[in-house]
Amino acid sequence: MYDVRTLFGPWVSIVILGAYAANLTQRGAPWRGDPLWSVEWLAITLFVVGPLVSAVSAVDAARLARPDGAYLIAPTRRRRRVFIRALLFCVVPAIGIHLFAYLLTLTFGHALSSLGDVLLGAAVLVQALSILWFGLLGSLLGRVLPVALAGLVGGVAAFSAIYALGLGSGGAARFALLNLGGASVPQIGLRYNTVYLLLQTTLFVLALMLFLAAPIKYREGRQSISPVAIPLGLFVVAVICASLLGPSDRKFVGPPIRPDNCHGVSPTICLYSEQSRVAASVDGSLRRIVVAAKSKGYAALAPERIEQRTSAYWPPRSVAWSLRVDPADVRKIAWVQEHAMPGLLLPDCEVLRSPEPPPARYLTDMRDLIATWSVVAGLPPVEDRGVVLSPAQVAQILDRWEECDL
Amino acid sequence: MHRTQHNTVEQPANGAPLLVLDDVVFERRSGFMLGPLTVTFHLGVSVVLGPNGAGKTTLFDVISGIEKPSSGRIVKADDQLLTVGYLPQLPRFPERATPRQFLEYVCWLHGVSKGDRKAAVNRALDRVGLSDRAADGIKTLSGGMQRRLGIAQAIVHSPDVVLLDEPAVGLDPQHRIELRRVLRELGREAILILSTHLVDEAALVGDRLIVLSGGQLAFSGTGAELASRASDDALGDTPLEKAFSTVLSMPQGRQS
Repeated sequence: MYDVRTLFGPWVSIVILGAYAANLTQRGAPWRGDPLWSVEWLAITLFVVGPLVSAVSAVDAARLARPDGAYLIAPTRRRRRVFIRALLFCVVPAIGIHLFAYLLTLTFGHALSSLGDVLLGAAVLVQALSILWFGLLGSLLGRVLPVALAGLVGGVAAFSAIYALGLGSGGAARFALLNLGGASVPQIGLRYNTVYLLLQTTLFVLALMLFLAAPIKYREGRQSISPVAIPLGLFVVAVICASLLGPSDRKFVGPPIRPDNCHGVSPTICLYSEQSRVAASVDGSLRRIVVAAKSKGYAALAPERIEQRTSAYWPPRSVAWSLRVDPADVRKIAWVQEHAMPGLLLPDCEVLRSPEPPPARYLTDMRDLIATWSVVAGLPPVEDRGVVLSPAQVAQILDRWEECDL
Repeated sequence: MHRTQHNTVEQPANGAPLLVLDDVVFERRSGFMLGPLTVTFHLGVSVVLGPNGAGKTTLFDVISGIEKPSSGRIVKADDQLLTVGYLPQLPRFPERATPRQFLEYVCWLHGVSKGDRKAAVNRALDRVGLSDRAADGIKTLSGGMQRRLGIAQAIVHSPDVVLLDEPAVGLDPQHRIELRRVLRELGREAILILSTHLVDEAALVGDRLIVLSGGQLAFSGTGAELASRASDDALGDTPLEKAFSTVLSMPQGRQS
């Protein structure tokens, strides 16, 4: 009760609880049923929780370290434990909420069976450790800062760390300590990289050990800076070494996982079982447009096999046509024309992955193909209708695209 | 720098706690220097006297561990760690907590076992006369009550050494009298070191008076010994005040 009355840490849980509630109710909770995406989706909240925990831990540490409070701490043999206790009152509830939110995602996604998935568990552990890390950062900084500055510096330091060790380093394709997830698109068919998660865990544990080893020293009534600067410096060196030597991909390791839930013939449609929630709707929509194309002579628009695509798995068109499925989009009225058709028609070409805009002819062809397929399938006209092509014209465009001649 | 005491660490005669400052020096960035100081504190009440800036608070900070001596050492005679309780001049209290919660926290800080905490807190509250306010918010306590709470936090874990920097500040006459009784009691259980500006008050409770001047030991002895130093023309209204002024006016080399 003393800590609840005297620290800010325990109270920040209320804000954190609100952040998770907001996160989990966004966009109709499309992550349901996809355990990996659930983990990644939860991580979005860490962009708020991390700086918040860091700022509040910094304030609490600064209040404990005030010169007029040194009389309580200096004579004891538990100097470090004073700060550890304050830190725990902030991070333990925050971590508890994070783990509870994870359990909720699995419960609502009917995926509680994936609790036994070691890699998913490790990824959640890394996220939990990151919350502790943010707290450690704030607590260390707070020890040597005045109360008025501590919260601001703690929060800004955490935001900066997220950028430098997470978001900002993503483009460099290097190991990034704070690459904790945060995906807002399906992560189906992917799996975590054990080495990456182990390295993150090791660094977080190292940070904890450095924190625990940092002595509390006073000089002229204030806490000395060196016990704070030395562990921070050592940790920065460790992170730099890890970014140079560690793996670059947190996910996408091993052979791509293919969708395993296949139904029907001509076309056979294969989706991932994690998305069985929307499978019937997707299957029905795709089958309808393929069967319609086939019956109206557009054989080029009637693949024998359609598979769900991921960022790791993209079968060649000779094996199967493919598309990504985002459960959040499937509910939309124009899903077939706005998502399914463009997804199925999209050629696997390097030029389309470059930052440059695609050729104008490609965009025109795509518009005409969608317009044609919509008319053939009897779907309501799309906003920009385009030209209805003949079966031969459709086949010709798709042949060109097969060669990446866009 | 003049050395005021011998440099041999004294041994306790009967196993009682003994706090030894052995050639201790502490230098502040401002240039102020405490020591070199070699003093032995025994069980009982030692009162540190001195004008503003003499080094009383610095001495307490060094003994409490807030400051590390620039040189020299602070030891218990048998080389074991001493437990210390410290009330500074201007302590900060957790105003939202109650006295009981605060004292339980202090017990935790000092490693008092969970089973012993309640009794320790009750004893400390009782000693300083705050038992009936144990469940009230600290912010609702008067300045004098907060001072007494400060004393309670310094003694709640039954430390070997109790440091009280101006403990009587803010107390009304009745509580000052009560405080003297408490201090004498504490002096029988611990090495009690307190500071005050009031020389006569010091003689009433102190088994031993220590006068600091400019960071140096100017006098160490009983109240009677201090009184014997008084010169008639010194400043002061009482013999002890005159003696105090006399000691402070003496050249450093002639002090003891």
